[in-house]
Amino acid sequence: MNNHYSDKKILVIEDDRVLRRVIVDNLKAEGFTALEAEDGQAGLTTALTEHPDLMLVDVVMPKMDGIAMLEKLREDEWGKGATVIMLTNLSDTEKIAFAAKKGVNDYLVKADWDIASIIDKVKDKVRGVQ
Amino acid sequence: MDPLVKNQNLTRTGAPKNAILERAEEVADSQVSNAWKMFPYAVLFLLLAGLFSSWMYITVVFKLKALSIPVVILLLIGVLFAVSVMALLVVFIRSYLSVLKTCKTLYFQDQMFSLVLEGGKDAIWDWDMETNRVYFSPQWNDMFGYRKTGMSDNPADWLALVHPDDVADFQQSLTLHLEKRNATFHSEHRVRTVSGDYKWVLDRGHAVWDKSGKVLRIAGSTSDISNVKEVEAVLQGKTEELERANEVVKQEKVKYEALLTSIGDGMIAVNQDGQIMVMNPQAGKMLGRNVSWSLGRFFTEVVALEQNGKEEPLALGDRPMVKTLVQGVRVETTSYLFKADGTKFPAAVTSAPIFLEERLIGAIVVFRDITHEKEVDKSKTEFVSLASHQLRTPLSAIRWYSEMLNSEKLGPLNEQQKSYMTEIYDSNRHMIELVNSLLNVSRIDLGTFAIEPVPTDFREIAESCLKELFVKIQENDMHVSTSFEDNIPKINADPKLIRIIFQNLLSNAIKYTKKGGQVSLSMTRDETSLYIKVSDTGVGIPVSVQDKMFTKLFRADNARIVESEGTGLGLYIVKAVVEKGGGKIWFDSVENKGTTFYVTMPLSGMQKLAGAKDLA
Repeated sequence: MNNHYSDKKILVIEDDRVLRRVIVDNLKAEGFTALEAEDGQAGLTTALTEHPDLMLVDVVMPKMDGIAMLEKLREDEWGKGATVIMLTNLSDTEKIAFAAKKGVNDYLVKADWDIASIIDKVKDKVRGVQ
Repeated sequence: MDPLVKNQNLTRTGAPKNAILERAEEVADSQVSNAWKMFPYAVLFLLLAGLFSSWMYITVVFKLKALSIPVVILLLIGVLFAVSVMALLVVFIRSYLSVLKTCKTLYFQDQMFSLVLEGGKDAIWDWDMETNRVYFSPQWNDMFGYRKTGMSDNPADWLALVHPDDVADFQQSLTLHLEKRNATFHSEHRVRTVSGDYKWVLDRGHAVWDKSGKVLRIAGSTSDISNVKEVEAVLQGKTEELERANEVVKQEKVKYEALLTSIGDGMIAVNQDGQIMVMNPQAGKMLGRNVSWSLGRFFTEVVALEQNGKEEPLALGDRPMVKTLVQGVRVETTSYLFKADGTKFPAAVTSAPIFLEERLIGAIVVFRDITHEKEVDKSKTEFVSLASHQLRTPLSAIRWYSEMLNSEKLGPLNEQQKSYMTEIYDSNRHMIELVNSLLNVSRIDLGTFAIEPVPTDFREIAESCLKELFVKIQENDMHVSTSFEDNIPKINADPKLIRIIFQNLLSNAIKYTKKGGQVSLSMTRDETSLYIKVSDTGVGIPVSVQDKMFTKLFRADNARIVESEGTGLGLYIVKAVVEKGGGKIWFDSVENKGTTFYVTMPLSGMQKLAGAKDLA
């Protein structure tokens, strides 16, 4: 087990249990401390209390979607600078434009990415590589 | 000159016959009045002559002294004698003048009657009931050709000449008058001529009755009305023709009105000045305008404002109707039309010119409310969006789980397991590509895909795509060569779209080229354009299907054999992307030798397109 990233907290906010599980399992396998939430509302609460190093946020979710969550997050003093990767299966220009405006660090279409590449992205971001 | 001669023309042309009588009396009166003017002089002359002769006789014969009683008596006798002679003279002169006047009057009347008989166009007949004989004037004989033989004076012969179809009416008119039920006898009928033809005539007459009411005679005239009847017949024919034409026009009008009323589309026809000449009820309804109010008004007043598909106001010159009138062209577009109340609706608008003998005389604007279609489009887009999310989530899960197992991080797989896992992974990738392609096609078809141009390094994208294909290139032992001209600038383009172009062209080249084949990619430029060339030594495209290569879902048979999993969507998407970006795409191919695809893109870059969706 690689514990290089054990001090890095990653919050996975994803309503699909199966996807959430595989992401969390992979993050853990790489040594990250993985937190999870099943909707935007719960994700926001966890984020504001746990202050994770990076968040993987789905867009379409119940209760509060990823865009609304991002908006709330950016209102918070800590949240303003938090690192966020949007993980989605939508390719909606307006939403991407909004996410870009709110300083999303990356916007990935899930189906087009291998999980290993996503984990690599996470590693790059927490190491400060853009 | 006889004063009547001067008046002959007048009489023949129909002046009142009293004019002749008046003139005759005038002549007689002037003779009488001249005679009376001489009368006082005659009386004075006779008195003086009587006195003088009596005095001479008395003094010479009887040698009596003047003014003795016998002389006075004799003088009185002489005067009485002279007065008597004078009275006789007066009576004689007056009688003479009266006879003269009567003769003159009769002479003029006779002249007048002759003129009427001879000179008039109408024929005269006179039926004496007591003798039961009819007199026919020469004109009557002329009219029907009996001048030589003379018409029989038997009324039965007259009646026999009347056309069998008209006899009943003729007799009825006559009877009605003779029985004093009609003031005059009046009948239009046909009379047989000597040659056997029939002639239309108008008979008018008046009867004379005695005190007991017995008819003494009836006289009248016969006018030839053949010409009138001919004209009437022609007129009747023309009238019927007009009625038929009118009926046709009416039917056409009904058809046209039914058509205009029944079509669901709004239709407005304008003249060359843009004034509304025709407007169907549907157009009135759709625009919230009264049709009769709108007629004659300018189209631009009735439809005050139009917006384009992006809901931006259209300049006057860009409005379809104006374009058609100015340029004489047909315009088909989608725009928003404003109603009387200021609200608007989306419409498919077609404006077509109306030409009369190659001269533009107006335009017809037909518009259809596409609110519902817009809604359907929107739901379709929403459905596609939903489906994309719904399908991609489980596909992502399969991808990631099979990837994990394949990586053997969770434990080693035997060869067969590893091979099966690879099949699962590859099939899933294929399904993801298919979903992405379907999404792209629907976005292209709906016109909702976006172009977000940013300065883009084409070479970088091309190399990145080749890198993604590296495994396949190695597996197939392919020789890939690239050649990039040095001074290719970054072009303002949407990198996602450029990636779609390279991915498809390069993966096709590799897919359809046999092991050990060659694939080459080159990029060059000139002043205005960038040229991309992708060549392979693959299966090629048969000539018979070359024109179908950019058709949606089309796959050539030889391609199916080589690669069973293709979607038939790639080149369709690439062509749409290239053309939307302002470029062109074409190819050269020889079956079993290879294919070269050419793409040009303007160095000026792509225009931004604010669609709702990115291509995946």
